Amino acid sequence: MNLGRTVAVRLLVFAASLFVASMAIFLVVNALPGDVATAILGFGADPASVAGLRVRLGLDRPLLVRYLSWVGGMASGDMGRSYLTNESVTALVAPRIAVTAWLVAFSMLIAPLVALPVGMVAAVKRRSWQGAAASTVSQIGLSIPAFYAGILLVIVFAVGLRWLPANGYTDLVDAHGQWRPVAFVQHLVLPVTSLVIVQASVLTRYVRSAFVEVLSEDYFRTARAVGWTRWRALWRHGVRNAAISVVTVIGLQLATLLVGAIVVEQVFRLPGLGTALLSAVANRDLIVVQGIVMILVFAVLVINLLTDLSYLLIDPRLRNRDAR
Amino acid sequence: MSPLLEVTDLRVAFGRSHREVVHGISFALEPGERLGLIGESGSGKTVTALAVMGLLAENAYVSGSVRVGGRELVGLRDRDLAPLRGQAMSMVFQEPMTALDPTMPVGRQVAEVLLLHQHLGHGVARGRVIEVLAEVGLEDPERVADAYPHALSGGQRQRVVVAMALINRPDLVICDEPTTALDVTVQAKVLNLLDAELDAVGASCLFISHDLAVVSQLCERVLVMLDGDIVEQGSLAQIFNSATHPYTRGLVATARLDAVEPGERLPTVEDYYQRQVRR
Repeated sequence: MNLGRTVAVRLLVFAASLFVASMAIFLVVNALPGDVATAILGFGADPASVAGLRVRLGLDRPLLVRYLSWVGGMASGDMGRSYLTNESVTALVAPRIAVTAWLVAFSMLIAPLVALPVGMVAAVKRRSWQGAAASTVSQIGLSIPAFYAGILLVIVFAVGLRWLPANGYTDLVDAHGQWRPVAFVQHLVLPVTSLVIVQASVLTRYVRSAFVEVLSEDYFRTARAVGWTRWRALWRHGVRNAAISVVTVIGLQLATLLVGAIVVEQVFRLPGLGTALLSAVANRDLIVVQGIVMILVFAVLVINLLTDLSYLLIDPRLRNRDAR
Repeated sequence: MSPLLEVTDLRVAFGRSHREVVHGISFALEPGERLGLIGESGSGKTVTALAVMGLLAENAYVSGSVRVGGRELVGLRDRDLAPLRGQAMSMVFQEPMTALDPTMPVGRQVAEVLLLHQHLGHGVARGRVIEVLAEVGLEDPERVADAYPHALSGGQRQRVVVAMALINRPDLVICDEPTTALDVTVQAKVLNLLDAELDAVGASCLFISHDLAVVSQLCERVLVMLDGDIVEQGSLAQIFNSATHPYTRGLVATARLDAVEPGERLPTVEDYYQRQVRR
């Protein structure tokens, strides 16, 4: 299988997953009990006005028609209008994407930077106290839920030490075109940290086991036999080999990370997709729920696609499969 | 002349229970000499080789003395020992299929060995790598240098490993069953290659094998190892003609299939030597 075909197949799978996901999201959301029209008008409303509202909102059309008009709109960037406020969903969601994206992107970048050294120490020093300490710390980090870590961080760093804001968000560039990098970072430190604690802990365990495997590999022994010290051999010949399994986990963890972000946004009152999603669910504003979930699924699928393609960069054996 | 490699009362034990697998062996290797180390699997041959190279796992306890060029290696820290590996002494491993990093072109892996110990420009290194790959009998060395290990055959990979071991012209080359994983025709070619290259570089060789026939092609002198002890040593002629230990006599019999009459049962080591059951 050559490179071009491999990439084409991956893209095809991506498109198919996107289609199936949109179907599933639409069906699940529309099968949920609870009717928007009833929710808007209240449970005591007269059935005739409920039916009238359903017609106005387009809820009386057949399921397939509603699905197609939703998907068609999404493709052109129109995610419909909120049932409750008649606001454009795209306008509601667009500024929030950046908030969640920053939160998730920082966590995804920082977690491996923490997990790589800690996991390597845990692997190389696994027979001494340093390794045991690294494993214990990751075990503890793993067992603290992100929202709880967030609350603890707020108590210590915002309420106690007053180093950082307890909640809220500042855009990198404010409404007047002014750059606000310091305030921007200050508001993200605690939420990102609470996500990183869990992510890095999970990742540390995978990094550790990947490197324990590398340590027993023949090529690692060869690298040491030609003159690399243990650590430099690991760095030079271990990281790339370990990356294959660790990158898989980073990709798979993204879904958990997004769920964590939704909760953490709530804890820190960040105006991201998570807070919008939770309030839309509470209000039965299904079209908003659909839109946001679809965006999240899209992000997961894109990252998984990138993960798949990154294997081709990391592992030369996959580039040309029939060459042995 | 003082020996190049001098091993005295080498003991290796593993794990918390300090289970000893090499029980105080001593031997010496003169400059330019080739010494065979023979024994069955589990006899401690590879552990001995790795102890000399300082490549044993961290849960290994090594005592005694290993001197290379007069320098004591036992007790050296990894970072003091590493510069000697690949430069003063190098190693050819048993498994060519897994001995190379699968994510790096082999040319770069060979160049690394060169650049690690000598300050050369990358262009110069590349030229030298191509040269050495040609020396170890690889056709089209330019193409091989850019290939990843998975694109090469076992024999080709073992030639690359030999190139890595010899590129810095070390004084001591340890070969740990370098042909065991190869099929018989490739085995003969790699043995001939080692024979020629060791001569060209002028390196001493500690050649480990379970096969006396293979050792006899390359070495002048042989150590016989059994259960962590050296039970016999001598020149090839002494080993073949006047071995004293029954285990050695068994090895000799199994290596001399020309002495077996057609129709006769093939000899086994157990015909000569039965291990006492230790309690």
